Amino acid sequence: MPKRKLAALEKVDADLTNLQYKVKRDPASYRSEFLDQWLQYQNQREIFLANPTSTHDSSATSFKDLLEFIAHVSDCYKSETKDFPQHLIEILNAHHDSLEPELREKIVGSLVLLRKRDIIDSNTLLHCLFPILSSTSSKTLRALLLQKILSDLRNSNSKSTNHKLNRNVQTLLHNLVLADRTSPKALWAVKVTREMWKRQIWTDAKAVEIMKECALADNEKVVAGGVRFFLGGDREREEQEEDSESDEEIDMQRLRHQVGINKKSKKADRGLKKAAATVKRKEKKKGQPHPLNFSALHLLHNPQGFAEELFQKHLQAAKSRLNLEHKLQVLQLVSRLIGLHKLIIVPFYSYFLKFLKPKQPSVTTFLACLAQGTHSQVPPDELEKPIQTIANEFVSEAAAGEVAASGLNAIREICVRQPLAMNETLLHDLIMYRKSKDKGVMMASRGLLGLYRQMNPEMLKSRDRGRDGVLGLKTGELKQQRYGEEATGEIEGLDLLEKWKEEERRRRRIEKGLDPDISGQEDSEEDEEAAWNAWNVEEEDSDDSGGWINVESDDEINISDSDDDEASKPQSKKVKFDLPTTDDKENAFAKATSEVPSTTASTTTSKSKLATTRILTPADLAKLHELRTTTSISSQLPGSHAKHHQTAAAAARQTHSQRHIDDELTAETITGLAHLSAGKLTKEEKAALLAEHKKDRSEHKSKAERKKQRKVEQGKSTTNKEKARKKNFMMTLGKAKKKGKRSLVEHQKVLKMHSDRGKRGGKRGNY
Amino acid sequence: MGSSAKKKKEKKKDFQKPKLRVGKAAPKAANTTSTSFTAKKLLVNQQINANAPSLRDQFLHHVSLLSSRTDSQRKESLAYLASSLQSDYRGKPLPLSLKALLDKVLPLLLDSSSGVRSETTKTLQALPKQDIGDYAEQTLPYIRAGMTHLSQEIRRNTLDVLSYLTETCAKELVSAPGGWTKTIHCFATNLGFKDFADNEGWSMHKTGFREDVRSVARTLQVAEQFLAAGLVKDFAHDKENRYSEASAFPLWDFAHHKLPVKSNPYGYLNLFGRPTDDESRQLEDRDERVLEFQDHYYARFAKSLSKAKHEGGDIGRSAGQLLKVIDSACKAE
Repeated sequence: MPKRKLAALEKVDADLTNLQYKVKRDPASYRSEFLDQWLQYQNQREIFLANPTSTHDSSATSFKDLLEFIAHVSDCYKSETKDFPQHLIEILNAHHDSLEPELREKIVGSLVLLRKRDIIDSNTLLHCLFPILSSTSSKTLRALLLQKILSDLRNSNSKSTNHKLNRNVQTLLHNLVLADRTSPKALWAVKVTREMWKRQIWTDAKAVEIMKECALADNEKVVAGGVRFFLGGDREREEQEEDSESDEEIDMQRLRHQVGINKKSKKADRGLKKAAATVKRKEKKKGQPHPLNFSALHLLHNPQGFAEELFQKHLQAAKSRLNLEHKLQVLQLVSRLIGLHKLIIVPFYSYFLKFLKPKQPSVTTFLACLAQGTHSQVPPDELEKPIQTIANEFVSEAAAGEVAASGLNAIREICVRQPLAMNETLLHDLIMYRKSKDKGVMMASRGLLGLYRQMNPEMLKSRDRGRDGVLGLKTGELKQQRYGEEATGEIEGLDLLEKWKEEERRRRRIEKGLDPDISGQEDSEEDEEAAWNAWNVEEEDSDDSGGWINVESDDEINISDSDDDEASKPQSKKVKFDLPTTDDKENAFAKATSEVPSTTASTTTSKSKLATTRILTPADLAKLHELRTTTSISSQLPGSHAKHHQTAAAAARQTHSQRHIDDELTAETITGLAHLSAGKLTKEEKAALLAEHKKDRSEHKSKAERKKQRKVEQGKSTTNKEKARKKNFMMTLGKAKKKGKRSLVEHQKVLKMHSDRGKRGGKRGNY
Repeated sequence: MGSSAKKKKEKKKDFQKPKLRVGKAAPKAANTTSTSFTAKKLLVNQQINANAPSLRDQFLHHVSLLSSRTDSQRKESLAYLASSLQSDYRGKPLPLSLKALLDKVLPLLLDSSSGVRSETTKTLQALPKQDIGDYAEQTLPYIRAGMTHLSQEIRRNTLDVLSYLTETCAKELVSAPGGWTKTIHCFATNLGFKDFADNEGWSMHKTGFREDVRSVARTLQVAEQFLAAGLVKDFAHDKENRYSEASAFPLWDFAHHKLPVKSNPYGYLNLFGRPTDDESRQLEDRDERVLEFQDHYYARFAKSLSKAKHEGGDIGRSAGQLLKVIDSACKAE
C-alpha cells in the first residue's frame, strides 16, 4: 500500500473543532484534554496580554480559535472556567480599540455565546458592551455591538417580558442621556430605545421618559432623534407589526401532501414538524388578547412641562443651534402635544407671526403646526392675530393660487379646532373667494364655508347658510358653543339602540296579538331575561378565538356558565329591582313618541335615561356596535339619503371625526388642492415629466395614446372632447342638420352669447 | 428556410476552410488576442542597486519577513538569520535589540509548519548565550504555550528549546516571575500527574501516559533538567560570590552595594507590571522554590513517578532519575 498523502489540514494534529465535538458529547471523559487546552488558553492569554496588538496568523492554533473552543465548551466545565467571562470582558474593555478586528469580533461573539448558554446574565453582558458601544471609534464594532445588544434584549424578552433587565437597561440609558447633555453618546440610547419600541418590547412610560430626555438634550442629533421618535415611532411600530403579520402563510395541508408524495427523509420530517409548530404558534397568537399599545405621546408624564421646555429651549431661545429642518420637527412635536393634551402655552401662537410669510421656506409646515397646536381651550384672542396675519399675507387676489389656497386651508384647519377664533367680517371676506376662478382657492374657500355652515351658521350671511344651516338654526341645534364649554358626553348610537328596542317590542307584541302601543311589565321583564340568557348562551358558545377575552377573575360569568337555570334567576331579580322605577317613565316616553312627532328636547332626555337607568347587557352592547357600524356605512353610500335623516350636528361630528385627533396634521393637508391652481409647466418640468414616462414606453405609441393609457391606469375619466369624438356618427347627424338649419336670429343669439362669454372670461367668469 | 441570400452566405462562411497559400502568412484565427502595445517609455519599478544592500539592511529585511504569509519564506528568513547570527554577528552587536528580535522569532515556536519550527529552534540556539537569559520572562510564556499545545510535534519541539535554555540560562529561567510554578504545572499536566486534591467522583481515569514512550521519556528528561536546575543548584551562594566576599575582607555584603550586574534587578518588586497572582510569583531563592515544590507538587510527582518507574524501559529510567532529583532536594530539607 502506498504511503498516504497528508492533506494540508492534517499537517498538524491540532484539531480543536474535533475536540470540541468530542467534549460536547462526553464532557466527563474528556476532562483532562479540556484542562490541557485550558492551560494552553492561559498561556496564550499571557502571551496575548504582553502584546495585545500583534497578530500571528501563522501559528497552528491561534488565540482566536482557543477562545472559541473554550466559549463553546465552558458550559460543560463551569467551575474550571468561571474566570473566563471576566477575562473576555477585561480584554475587551482594555483593548477594544487596538485589537485585531477578527479577534475582537470573536470575543464579542464568545460573550454572546456565554450569555446564550446562561453562563453570564444579560446584565453583565450589556454592562460590558454598552460602554464600549458609546466609546469605540470603530464603525464595524459599533454596528456589531448594537446588533448584539438588540438581539440579546430581544431574546431575553422573547418568552416573557424580563422586567428586571428592561428596567436596568432603561436606567442605564437614562443615565447615559442625563450624564452629559451635550455629548452625542446619547444617540445610542435613542437607537436602542427606538428599536425596542418598534418591536413592542418596551411599551412603558420609562422608555418614553428616556426619549423625552433625549428630546431635551443639547446635542442636535440627539434632539432630532428624540423628536423623530415621538413623531414617527408609533407609525414605525404599526408598520413593523403589519410586516410580521403578513409573513407567508403556511399551507399545512399542502405540506402534508408533499411529504406523502416526495421521498421520505428526516429533513422533510423535521421541516413538517417545524411548520406545524409555527402554525400552532400563530394560532395561539391570534387567540391572545391584543396588547394595549399606548402611543408614546400618551405615555408622557407631565406633557405640559415637556412641551413648555421644548418650546423654550429649542424654539424660543435665541441661541438654539438647531437648523430649520430640526426646528420644524420640534415645532411639530410641540404642536402635537398641545393639540393632543389640550395644553396651553400662550407665547406659542405669537411665535408663529414672524414665520407666516409666503416666502418663508416650508411655510406650509408652519401653517400645519399652527393649526395642529390649536384646540378648543385656546383663548380666541390669541388666535386672532395669526389668523389675521395669514389672511393678510396669503389670501389676496394678488397672491398666487397655491398661496391663497394654502392660507385658506390653514385658516380652516384652525377654525375646525377653535371656531371662536374667526370674526364675522373676515369670514365674509374669505368666503367670497369661493367664486374664484382658481380651482384650489375655490375649493379651500368652500371648505371654510361648509365648516361654518355646520359650526356656526349665524356668522354667515343668510344666503350663505344653506339648507342644513338654516334648519339647524331654526331648531336651535346649531348653537355656537361658548369658550370653554364642553359638550356633554354620551354613548354614541344610544338613540339608535333605543329605537331598535322599541321596534322589537312592538313586533313581538304584534306577533302575540296584543296592542303594540301599550307595554306591560311582564313584557320588558321577559325582554331582559332573554337578553341576559342570550348572553349566557353566547358566552358558552364562544371560544378563545371569538373576540371576547377570557378574563379569569370574572367569577360572575363563571357562575352563570356552570348552571344556567339557577344563575339566571338572581340576575333577573336584579333587573326586576331596577325595573319598577324605569318602566313607568319609559312607557310614558313610548306613548309620547307615538303621539307626538319626535322633538329634539324629548330625545335628548331619553338618551340620558337609557344609559343611566338600566344596565346594558353585553347583547345590547353588541347590538349597539352593530347599529353604529351599519349607520356609518349607509351614510357613506352615495345613493342613500341617510344624510338628510341625520341631524346637522351629527354630520358635523362626522366630518370632524374623519380625522382622529391622534393623527397628525401635515403640510400636505394645508397644501390641499394647490396643484389644481398650479400654472403651466415650464420647459424643464415638461422635460422631466417626459423623462419620467419614457421608461414605460415599451412599444411605440403616439403621445396622445400614451396619455390616454396613463389616464386609464390612474383611474381617471375621459374628457368631454374625447367622449364627443367617440360618439356614434348617426347620433351626431341630427345636431349637425339642425345647426345648418338655424335661422339668422338664432345664429345671432349664439354668436352674441359666445362673445359675451369671452368678455366675461369664460363660462365661470372672472371674479 | 425562407431566409435571405445574405443570411445563407453568412452562415456558409462559418464552415468554409481557410485557404492556405504557400509563401503567405497563415490567416489569423478569429479569436486571436493582440499582444502588441505601444508605449513611449518603460518604467522599471525596482531599479538595480549599484551598491548592494548592507548586511544590516538584509538582516532587518529578513526579520520583517518573519511575519510573511508563506511558510517557505518564513523558513528561509529564519535560516538566513541563523547563519547570519553565527557568522556575521558572532560577538558583535545586533542591528536591532534582542527583545525586538525575540518578539518576532518566539511566536514562530507555535508555527504550523514543522520546517519553520525547526529553523526557529536553530535561530534561538544561535542567539548570544550570555544575553538570552535576560529575556527569560519574555520567552517563558511561549515555551509553556508550546508545551501545552494540542499538537504533539509542537510540544516535542518546544521541549528541545526548553532543554537548550535550561542548559544556557537555568538561573534566570527558574527565578523569572511565574517561571517556576507555572512551568512545573505545565510539566505536571503534560505528564498527566493529577492533583489528588481535586479528584472528582469515584470514576477512575485511565492511568499511565497518554503519549508514546519516546516523547514521555523525553519530557521526563527535560523535566529532570529543569527541576534539577531549580531545586539543586544554589545560585545565590555559589563559589565565586563567596570568594569575592572573602577577598574584600573588611567589607561584608560588598556585592549589595555595587551596581547590579544583572538586568532588571528590582524586577521582583513588580513596580510597573500587571498585578500578579500567586502563580506568577518570582521565586529567586532556592529555598523558596523547594518549599513551593514541596507544598504543591512533590506528592503527586513522587507518587506518579514511583509508579512510572515500575514500567521500566526508557520511561522507567528517566522517571527514576527524576525521582532521585526531587527526593534528594526535598528530603534533605
